[in-house]
Amino acid sequence: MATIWSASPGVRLRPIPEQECCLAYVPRPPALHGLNLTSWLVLSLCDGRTQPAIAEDYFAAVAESGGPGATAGALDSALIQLEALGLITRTVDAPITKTCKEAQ
Amino acid sequence: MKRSNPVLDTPPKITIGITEACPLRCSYCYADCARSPKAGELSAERWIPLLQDLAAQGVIQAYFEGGEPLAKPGFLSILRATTPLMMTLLRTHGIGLTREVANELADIGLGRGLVDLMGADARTHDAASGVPGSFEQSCAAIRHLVAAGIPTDVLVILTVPTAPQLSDIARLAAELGAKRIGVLRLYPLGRARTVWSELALSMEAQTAALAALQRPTGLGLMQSWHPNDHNCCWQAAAINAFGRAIGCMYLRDYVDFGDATATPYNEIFRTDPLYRSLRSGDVEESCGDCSATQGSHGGCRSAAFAFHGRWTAPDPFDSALNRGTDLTLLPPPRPRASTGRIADGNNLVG
Repeated sequence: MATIWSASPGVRLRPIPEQECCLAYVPRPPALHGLNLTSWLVLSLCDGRTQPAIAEDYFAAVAESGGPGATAGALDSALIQLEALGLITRTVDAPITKTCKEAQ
Repeated sequence: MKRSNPVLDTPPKITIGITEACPLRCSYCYADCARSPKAGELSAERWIPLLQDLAAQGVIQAYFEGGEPLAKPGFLSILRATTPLMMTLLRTHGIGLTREVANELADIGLGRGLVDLMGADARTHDAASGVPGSFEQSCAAIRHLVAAGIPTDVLVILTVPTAPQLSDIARLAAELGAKRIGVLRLYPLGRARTVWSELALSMEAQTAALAALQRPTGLGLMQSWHPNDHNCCWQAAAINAFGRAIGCMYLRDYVDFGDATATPYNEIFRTDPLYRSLRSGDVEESCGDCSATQGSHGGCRSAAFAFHGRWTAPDPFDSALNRGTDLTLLPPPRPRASTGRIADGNNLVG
C-alpha cells in the first residue's frame, strides 16, 4: 500500500522564479511559508501521486536540472517538513523513508 | 558603482490602507485621520473585487492598516473575502476589538494581529491618542486576539515619550501574550509634522533607546535601525484608501503611481518610472553592514526623500549614513509626484 500525497485543501502557491523560491499560503490555520527550490518541487509533485511516483519524478526533475540534492533523504525531509507545515496531507498512512530509498 | 536590490517581476505582498477614518485622534497620525471615512474612499463593495483581482495577479499576502481598519464599514466582509486567497495581517489600535470581534477574526482566518501602543501606561498612551480609555482598550484587544489564537505583535513608534518606556512596553507586550515587539521610526508624515519638535529624537537618542531596550525572554524584536536598515522598496506594494497605488504607506504623502482600480497593479509595478527607480537600489550611498544583513541598499526611501529631497539620498535614520543630519528638525514639505514624473534625475515635480 503506497502513500498518496496531496496539497492540503485551500493551499495557494505563489511562485517567485526570479528569486528561486515560492510562497505557499495555508488558510487553516493561516500561515505563509517560503519554500526553497527542493520543497517547491516536491510540493508541486504532491498532486495525488503515490510516493514512489513522486520520488521517480523528483529524481528525474533534479537530474534534468543538474542541481544538487537529489537524495532520498532530501525528498523524505521535504515531505516531512511540508506535512508539518500543513501544506500536504497523506491519504494512506505508511512509512515514507523506505519507499523513497527504494525509488532511488 | 551601480547598486542593485533584489528583483521582483510582480509583487507577492501588498499593504492596504483601507480607510483614513479612526475613532482616535492621535497627535502623530500619518493619515491625518478623521472620525468618518473621507470622500472618495473605496467602499467594501469595491475593495472585495479589487482584492480578488490582486490575488489573481499573484498577491498572496495583504497587510491591512488605516486609519483604523475596524472602523471601516464592511471590513469584516472584506477580510472574509480575502482570507481564502491570501495571508492577512491587521494593524489596529484595538478600539472596538472585543472578545467577540477577536473570535470572529479568528473564525474568518486572520493570520496575524499587530496592535499599536503609544506608551506603557494610560497617561502616555491616551495623551498621544487623544482619547481617554484607549490604552485599556488596546491592551484588552491584545489579550482578546491572543486568547482567540491569533498570533499578535505590539508596535510602538519611537518618540520622545515612548523612548524611556520601551522596556516597560516590551514587558507589557510579553505579559499580554504578544509574540514580538516592533519598534518603528517616526516619519514626518501627516499630523506628525505638526508635533515633530515635541516627538522627534536625535539619531543618538534613538540609538541609545534601542540599546537600552530590555526584552523578556521569548519576545521577538523587529526594528530597522543599523545594522538592520533595509531598503524594502524592492518588494513594496501598497494601495491607499482611495484606490491609488502608492508603493508603500510611508510614501503616502509623496507619490501617486496611479489608479489601482483602473490599471492592474502589476502593470503599474512594471511600468511606472519612479516606482521602478525606487525599487532598483541604485542609491548614492549604501551601508555595508545593512546591505549585508538585509540584501538591499540605502535604507528607507521615504526617510531619504523626506530629509534630503532626493530619492537616491542616504537614509538619515541609519547611523552609518546619517552624516550629521539632525532628525529633530522638521524637514520641509515635499511635492507629491504624479504618475511617472521624475525631474532632474532624482527630484520630483508635482
